[in-house]
Amino acid sequence: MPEPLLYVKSFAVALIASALFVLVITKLLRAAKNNLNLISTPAIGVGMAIGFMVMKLQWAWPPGSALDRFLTIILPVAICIQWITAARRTPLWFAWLMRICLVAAVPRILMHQSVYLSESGEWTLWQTYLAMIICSSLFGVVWLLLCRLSKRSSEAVSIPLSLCLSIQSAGVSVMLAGYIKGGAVAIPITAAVLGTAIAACVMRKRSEANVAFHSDALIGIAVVMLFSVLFFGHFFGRLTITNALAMMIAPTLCWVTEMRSLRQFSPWRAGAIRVAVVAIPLIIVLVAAKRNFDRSFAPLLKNNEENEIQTRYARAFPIELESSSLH
Amino acid sequence: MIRSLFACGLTFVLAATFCVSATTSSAADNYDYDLVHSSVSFKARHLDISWIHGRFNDVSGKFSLDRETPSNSTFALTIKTDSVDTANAARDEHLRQPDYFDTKQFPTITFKSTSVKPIDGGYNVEGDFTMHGTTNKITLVLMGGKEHDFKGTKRVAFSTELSLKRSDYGFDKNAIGPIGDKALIMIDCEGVKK
Repeated sequence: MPEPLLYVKSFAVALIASALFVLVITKLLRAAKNNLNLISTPAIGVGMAIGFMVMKLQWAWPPGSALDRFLTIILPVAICIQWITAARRTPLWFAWLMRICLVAAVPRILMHQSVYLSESGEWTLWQTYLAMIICSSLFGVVWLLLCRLSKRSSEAVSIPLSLCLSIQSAGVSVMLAGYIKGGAVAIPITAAVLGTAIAACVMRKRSEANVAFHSDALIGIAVVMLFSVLFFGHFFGRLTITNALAMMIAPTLCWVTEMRSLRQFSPWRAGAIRVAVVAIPLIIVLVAAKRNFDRSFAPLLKNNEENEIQTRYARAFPIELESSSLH
Repeated sequence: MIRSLFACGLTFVLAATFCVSATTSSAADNYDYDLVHSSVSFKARHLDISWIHGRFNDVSGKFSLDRETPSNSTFALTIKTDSVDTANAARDEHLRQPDYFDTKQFPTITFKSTSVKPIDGGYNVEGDFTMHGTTNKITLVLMGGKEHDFKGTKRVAFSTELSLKRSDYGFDKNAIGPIGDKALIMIDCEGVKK
């Protein structure tokens, strides 16, 4: 059963932990002060780990389910890759090579030993690989588009914020589709990315102008998280393909501010427009998911009040008939 | 002459070997699980005050019964988790999700016997029970085994009940919620001789 209070606690703790990590480490280490990208990746990891602990999230090793593989393989690998690529000495081609490997591997890792890859499964092998190639391509394109946009923009918080909105919406949609644990995972992830983004922006404002922070590291991790939550939400839960696609593509709407008519806006105003534009399809998807939940799962959670009333009427009806027949 | 004697001898040896092996295999009768006359049902506590009942509609299995040497008998059962049925479509859909059976990841529940001992009125069957990706050793007390010849087809039936904790099979303790950790599984199976 969903536990809202625990989710709020987990969100708050993950947000504070990741933000504090950035603030404390940048105060203590001079090198970290000059490259906030390098510190933001472990900050997300710390925030998420503490958030998961507060949520009492259970996982198994060796991993048996897609969620276990996400928590124990994909999440640490994504953080490590983004941490390596954040270093100034890492060549760009090597960074993208690692990212492409991750993009190609994530669907395969999540589908491991599932019905989709078994011989007697519901899909043929070519269908599975076609689905994986399409998913990986979409994943890679979204990541590339957001990274390119972050390079063009001087304001660094709106893209991670848009991704946070998308991850949280994905989590809620997965929960509303009936996979509670899969959706709940998104809560500490969103909080950790959000806390890190806010703290990094604060530190960049306070520091000198040459501080490196293009939010690439945050974007990378957030895109991996968003894709994974949607992927296992759809293939293992009951999240519809339409909702999953809409939420995966939604963050790319940040590009709207690159339109000629919107370019004259100040960075912060452009950032606000991006977040607002991304929020529109997400709200539509959430409304659709809630309506679907009300149709399919809500009757399970309702008390039997309505049934009792119906029963009472049903009992009263024959009595009325009997009394009328007496007259 | 020597060649024909050798050929006769070889034929005799082969025939004898075949007869011996045929006698050995005929000692064990092989049966297929009869889905029409069998059921695998379960019940789990709800709010610790009542029981929710359900069943699995897609089950298959095989067993071989050796009456003379019961320890040679084997039992195997495969339950398709996707076929869970609690008489409520929405709840069944929820049970198929990864919070419970995770049917896309763990499509089957299986039992495979490792040792069989005869007891009064049945068999004590020890074996590997795999559910939700976790395998544990369990002992089933199979009662029955009486053979019945119906329209020329031999049938044999067994019944058993087992109690297990879902948390022992990797189900998330936090996801157990209002449904109790303990579940009772009732298996009534009829086998049709091959």
